[in-house]
Amino acid sequence: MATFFIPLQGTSLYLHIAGAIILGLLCLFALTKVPNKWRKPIVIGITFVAGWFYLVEFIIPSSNSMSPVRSSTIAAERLIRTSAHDLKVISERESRSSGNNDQRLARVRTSLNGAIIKLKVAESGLNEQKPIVDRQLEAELRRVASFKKTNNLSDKMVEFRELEEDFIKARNISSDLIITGGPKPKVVSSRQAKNIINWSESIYKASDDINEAILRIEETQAALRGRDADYEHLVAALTVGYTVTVIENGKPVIKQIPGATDAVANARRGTLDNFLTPYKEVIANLLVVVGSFAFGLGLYNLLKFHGKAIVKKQPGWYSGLAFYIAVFAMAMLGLLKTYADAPGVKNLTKTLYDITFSGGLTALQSTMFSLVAFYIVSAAYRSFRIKSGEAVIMMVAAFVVMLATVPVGMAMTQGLPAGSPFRLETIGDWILTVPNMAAQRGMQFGISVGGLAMALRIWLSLERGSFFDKQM
Amino acid sequence: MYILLGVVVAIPLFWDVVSQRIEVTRDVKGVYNTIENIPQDKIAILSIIWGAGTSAENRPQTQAIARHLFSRGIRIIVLPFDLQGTKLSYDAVEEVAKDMGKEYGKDWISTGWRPAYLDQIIQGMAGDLPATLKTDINGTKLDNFDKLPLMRGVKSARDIGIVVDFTPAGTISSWISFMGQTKNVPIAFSPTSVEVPAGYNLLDAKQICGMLPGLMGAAKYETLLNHRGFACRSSNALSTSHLLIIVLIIIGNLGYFFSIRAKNIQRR
Amino acid sequence: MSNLADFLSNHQIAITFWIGAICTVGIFSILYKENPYYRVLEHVFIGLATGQGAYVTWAEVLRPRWWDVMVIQGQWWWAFALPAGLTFYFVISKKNVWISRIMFGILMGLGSGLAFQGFANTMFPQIRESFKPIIPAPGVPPAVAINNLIFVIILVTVMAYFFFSIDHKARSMRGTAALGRWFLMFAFGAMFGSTVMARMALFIGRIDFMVNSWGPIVPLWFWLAAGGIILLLIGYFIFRPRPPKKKEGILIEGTPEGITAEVTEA
Repeated sequence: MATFFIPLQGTSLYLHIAGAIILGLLCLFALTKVPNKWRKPIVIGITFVAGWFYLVEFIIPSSNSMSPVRSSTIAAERLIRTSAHDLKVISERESRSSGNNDQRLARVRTSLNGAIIKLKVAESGLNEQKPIVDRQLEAELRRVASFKKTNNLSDKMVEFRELEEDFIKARNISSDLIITGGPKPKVVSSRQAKNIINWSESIYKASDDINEAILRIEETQAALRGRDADYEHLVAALTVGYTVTVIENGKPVIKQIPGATDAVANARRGTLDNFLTPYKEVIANLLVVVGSFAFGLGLYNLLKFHGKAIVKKQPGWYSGLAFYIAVFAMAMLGLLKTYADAPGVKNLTKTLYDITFSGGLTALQSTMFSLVAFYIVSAAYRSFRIKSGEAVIMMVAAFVVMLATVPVGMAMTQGLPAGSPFRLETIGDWILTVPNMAAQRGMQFGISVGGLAMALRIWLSLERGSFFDKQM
Repeated sequence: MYILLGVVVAIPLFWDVVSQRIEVTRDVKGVYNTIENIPQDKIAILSIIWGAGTSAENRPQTQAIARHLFSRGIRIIVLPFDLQGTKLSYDAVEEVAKDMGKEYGKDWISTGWRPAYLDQIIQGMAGDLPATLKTDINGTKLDNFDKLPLMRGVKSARDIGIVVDFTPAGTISSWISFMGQTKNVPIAFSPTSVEVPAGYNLLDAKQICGMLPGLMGAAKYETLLNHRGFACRSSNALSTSHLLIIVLIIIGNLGYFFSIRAKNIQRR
Repeated sequence: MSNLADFLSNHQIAITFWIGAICTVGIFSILYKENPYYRVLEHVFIGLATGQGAYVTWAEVLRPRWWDVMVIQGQWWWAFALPAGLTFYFVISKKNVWISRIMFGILMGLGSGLAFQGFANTMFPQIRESFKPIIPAPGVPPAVAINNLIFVIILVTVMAYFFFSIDHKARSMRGTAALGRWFLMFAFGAMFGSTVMARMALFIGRIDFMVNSWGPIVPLWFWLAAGGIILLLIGYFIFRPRPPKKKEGILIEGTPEGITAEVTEA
């Protein structure tokens, strides 16, 4: 398979392209001859199989070698979070000078010790992987370099050159590479080597993250041994991290110091990749390209609809003519401004395109949307009637939210002391962050479960309607 | 009534009807603080879902965030998913970049339009950003470091300091699912006002670091940056238009109640 | 051509603003009544958007990510993307429309697969954060505890309202759902207020363009002429000759009851 899909040049390339298109068209022709009874199962089968890719990628774990790293980091994160919570409670109690914190402090120390042990297990698991992946990297590059030499590849094959840069960068990270005589060079795709490079980087970065987490824990332990520990700072060090300002080249630079749990979570996430993960980028690219071809469908429908109106001279046919002129003018201006060779044509079409876009398209679209403002004003006067208690609540909430976010609302209650709960902006903020938020969450749960059920029905092709009609 | 609306909106654009300092709320402060704490070696992604229709709200938001990022020296990748938004966002960020002396290719790039297969593209980007996005708006490959030095060292989600989603729709859940939750990248939500009530749900669940609620969110951000732009200028026009709507609703309902009362009296 | 290019370049901003203003006024003319200018501009908008879409699709997606990769980089297998993309066009064929469903099926399948991941990543944190402390404790001030209690009550009642799998026959269920409906009004009120703000902001954007961008470049004579025309139009609408009033006519013998003939006054 790898020998078949290799980049080509010259006549061979054009022949392969033509062959691929002809083969594809033949497949489409063959599909038109499929008997009726097979059509529905084919579509159902393809939909079902397509759904498995992301599902499987999400569910299956990474390789067995990462299993001790995964379990250790999960355990360590749990221990660090427990310690952070205990420190928060200690801080709260000390500020109110209530309760004895010795037991809790002892628990924190035990948890942090346990977390360090777990993280060192994870680190040793990663260190075992490093030489393995370094050897794979070296072997890949030697095979690629040999392939280049054997096939006399030109400088246009930039993918392979990029690999050398990446490899040198990766090799600088690890100093203990062993260069051995490689096996007989095989033809490989560049993607395989890129995947190995990405995996290598993930392992090294995960190792760095674990070291950062260990540093944060050791800082916390050292602070706790002292007398006046700043518990809030320690909680930040264990969870979200903190910032320090350092002087670099005479300028103050803010550096973000990652928290222990964040660092451990990053380390774990970086090692979750499985054998399907590299293909996510391939799928994304394929979808973007194939999906773009669908634009022509919308274009065809619009041209057909307005063309019919012009040909049959239906009422308002001149609007259809205006549509045609606008489509071709905009498309031609865009293509000429990008691909024209003559500088005069290029400049003229660029200016015309900018004028048409900014003065025509943008103005028209913005104005279309802004018409709704008038309809709201009209509806406010004619239609919004408060006929029930629920409508009263709705309108009061709407009025408060509308006024609380704008300066005139803020000005209405500015006489009240700052932080007063009766200020309009405070009431508005409360409505948005408590009752509105609760109701939105309730609705969101319902919508999400419904969406999940719909996704399941689509995946299993249980949905009826235009997707499966009598024609199939 | 339509003319009244036009007058009520136009006059404050000339004259400050209410000179009231705009109070900055904690949702906006959340975004500001997150951007303040981004390490210099990370990049910011501005996800552009808006087009000309909602440019009045989303454009000032984009410019305010871009201004803050540029002032901190954070490199920006503009990632548009809307056809008109591609050029509009490019022009908007270019205006700020020129104002602040920032260079295309070195301090910021736009990747050009991507069809809205958001979930798949984000998934791909999280693993390998240059391979998923491939080229910028001019067709230059993202790994051409001579023309696009900004992309040096940018490989995956680990190199992203923040993602700000400027959207008139509910696309934030894609960024949260596949970048925020799985790769621990801070996500900021910058919606039009329609999506704001739903955004508080995400803020409470700590799925977003902060939110710029509509045009007023942009005005609050401009206040934080001490830069008076379109959003600050429009806040008074927004005030008067809201007052007009409230007055019309009250007048309409008063008329309705009095007419019901008159009918009841007539019936008796 | 270079003279034209120079002229356009030098006056680009003014031309853009004038075209923008004409388009804005033309679209706003629908507020008075339906008219052909609005219809033409509406179609021009659709045409411009479609034309721009076609150009951007080729220049920013297909050319760099498909054509150049295939022809310049030599990755010939991308040629298969063309027949794959052509499957969408079978929607047009009545006989073979099922072939388009293969590609739509793939897209929907991929989307569905992601939906499970998306649900887990979006919903689980929200479910976790919904368990809030409602009793004051260290780290939970009384005000926060009260807010959390209100949150929990509203969340449970709203979820009860949307729970359609069982009948709302039991009194407790009916009452809870009814309470949920009342609490939903807070969210709807907030949504209404936010929607008003959004729409007004869009209108303000347009008025700002007219007032602060286009207004300053308009010469005085234009304002005088426009003012004069508007005054003339107002005068015409006030003083125009009205059509004669129609009076209810007499009952004509022989016609069924209730039918009268209209008599127009001379």
